[in-house]
Amino acid sequence: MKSISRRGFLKAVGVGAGAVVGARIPGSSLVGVARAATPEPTSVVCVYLDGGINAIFTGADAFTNTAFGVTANNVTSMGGVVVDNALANAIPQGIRSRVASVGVRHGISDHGNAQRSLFVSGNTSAPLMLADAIGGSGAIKAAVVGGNSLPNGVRPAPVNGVSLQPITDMRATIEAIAGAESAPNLADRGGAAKGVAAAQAMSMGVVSKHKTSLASVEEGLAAAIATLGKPVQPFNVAEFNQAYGLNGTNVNNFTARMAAAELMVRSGTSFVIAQDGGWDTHGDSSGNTVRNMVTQRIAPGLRTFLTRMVEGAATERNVVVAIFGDFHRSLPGSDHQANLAALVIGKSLKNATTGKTDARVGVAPNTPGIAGLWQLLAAAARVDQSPFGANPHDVLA
Amino acid sequence: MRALIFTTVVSLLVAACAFEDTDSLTGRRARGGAGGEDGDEASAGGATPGADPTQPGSCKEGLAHPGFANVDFVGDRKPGAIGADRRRVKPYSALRSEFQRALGAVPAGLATSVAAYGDVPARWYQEPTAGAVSLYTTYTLAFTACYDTMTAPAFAEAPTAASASTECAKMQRKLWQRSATPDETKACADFTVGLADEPAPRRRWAHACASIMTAAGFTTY
Repeated sequence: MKSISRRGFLKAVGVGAGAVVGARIPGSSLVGVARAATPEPTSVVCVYLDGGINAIFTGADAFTNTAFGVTANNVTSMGGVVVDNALANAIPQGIRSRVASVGVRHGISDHGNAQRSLFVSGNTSAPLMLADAIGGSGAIKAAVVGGNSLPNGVRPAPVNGVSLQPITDMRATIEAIAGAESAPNLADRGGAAKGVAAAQAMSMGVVSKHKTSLASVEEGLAAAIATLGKPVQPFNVAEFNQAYGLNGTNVNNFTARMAAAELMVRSGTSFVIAQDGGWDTHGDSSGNTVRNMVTQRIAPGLRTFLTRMVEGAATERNVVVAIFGDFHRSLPGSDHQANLAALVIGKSLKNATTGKTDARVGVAPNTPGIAGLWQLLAAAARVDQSPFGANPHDVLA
Repeated sequence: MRALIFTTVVSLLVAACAFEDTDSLTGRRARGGAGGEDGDEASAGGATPGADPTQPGSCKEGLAHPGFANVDFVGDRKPGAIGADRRRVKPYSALRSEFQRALGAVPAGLATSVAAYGDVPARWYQEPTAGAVSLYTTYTLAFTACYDTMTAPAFAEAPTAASASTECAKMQRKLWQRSATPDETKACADFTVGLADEPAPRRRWAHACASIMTAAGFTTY
């Protein structure tokens, strides 16, 4: 296989996301079956900071001149939502009126429990429930970019056929979606689609006996067949690489994760999670450690993604971005606070906050818990039937 | 005197160990029934007559392990059928030698495809998992390697029902290191014969080979 940079610049990417918009087909919940439960192509993208999120990124004005190095000069006010400039600078001007802070009073202060609990609803994977509820025409409905699991190594069981697919290499992803170049010894898209289907048939006996340990094989084959069966549309690889400053296809840093997130959103994926590690920032009383991490690692890719997929594609699709972590960092030592807020960005949001803390990083007693976050995300995605219940956060436009 | 005490203590320990029912630890005591993958212990006896010995609840496996507060620390383990859920996805690190074994050649693209299978940090272990991307990558790599090595005259002829069935069974035996079931061979043969819109016979055979290498028989162990 050749590298993307040497490939002709028009590639075909299976998008077709709007092909069946507006028509939910009852009972068609299998992966790859086209359906839409939202009024337009919709994706929820979670940016998860593994270890925690400092409240200066979700309500910095609680600490002005008192903690975490917050002053009137290093924050930006977006309506009632005040965000540290390290992150605010990654949010394009055109969508700053579409930023909300959403509080989560989960009462959890250990990493493992927080990471597990934040992504379940009852005993079921909340991301996969949301992806299933959004529907859409993407062959891969839920994806983790740059990894193979949710936080804490969780690989969730599929929900109504919707599985979490790992996206670790964009070259393979583009080829899986668009097909490779033509050559005698390169597989063609049509043949590969039938060949993978034959592989699935040949695997049935083995997979059925090892249902749990080979669950990823069963899910992966189904997703690959669905992907290869999708229609294609032009995709400019050179422009894509230039926009994100990519010089390779390996999804091994945060910028590449956001680029892969765009790839998946454009191919119709309903839920994408991009994780970044190293956010257990004990001792960061000044907030400078997390500011530098956001500026250097998060902001470049996030800014490009928000510019292209939230601001630039607002007329075509509804992309909701939620930035959060295990919990807030506490005072005075930037340790573990048993609550958090998510910064949620998208055209269905308005400037409002239910996540601003007090000066000791406490949230209001009536702040909803984890369920409230998923209720809000489903409402922001405008699903016709939320599997999580009514949204308790008054932050929607 | 000291030697006498030491000898006595050791003797008591040995006796204690001797009285332990070792079969209760291995589960051998109650396991029984027909052979299968665990047939080496089939003659131990003790199973419920007529019960399927591979299914949970048909035999007693070991003793409880009560710990603090008399809580059995393995009590939440779910019983599983004997031999089930033992297969694992082959890691990327195994594919080079597996391609070499299966086809006598390693596709050039394998070396640059590590990301498609998920990078594992040095000195770190992650249970390998499959996904749409890794399986599609396996298919494309396998197709290239198969095509490049399928130079025998037999592969210059378009597959027929008979030749597809024969060649599929042969390839499955070699690539999977076991004989395929009739259904598995039929799935391969039907695909190969049905790929009529592919005009090049060698490419049809390469697709058959690639599909066998993408199936769980090759991608798992």
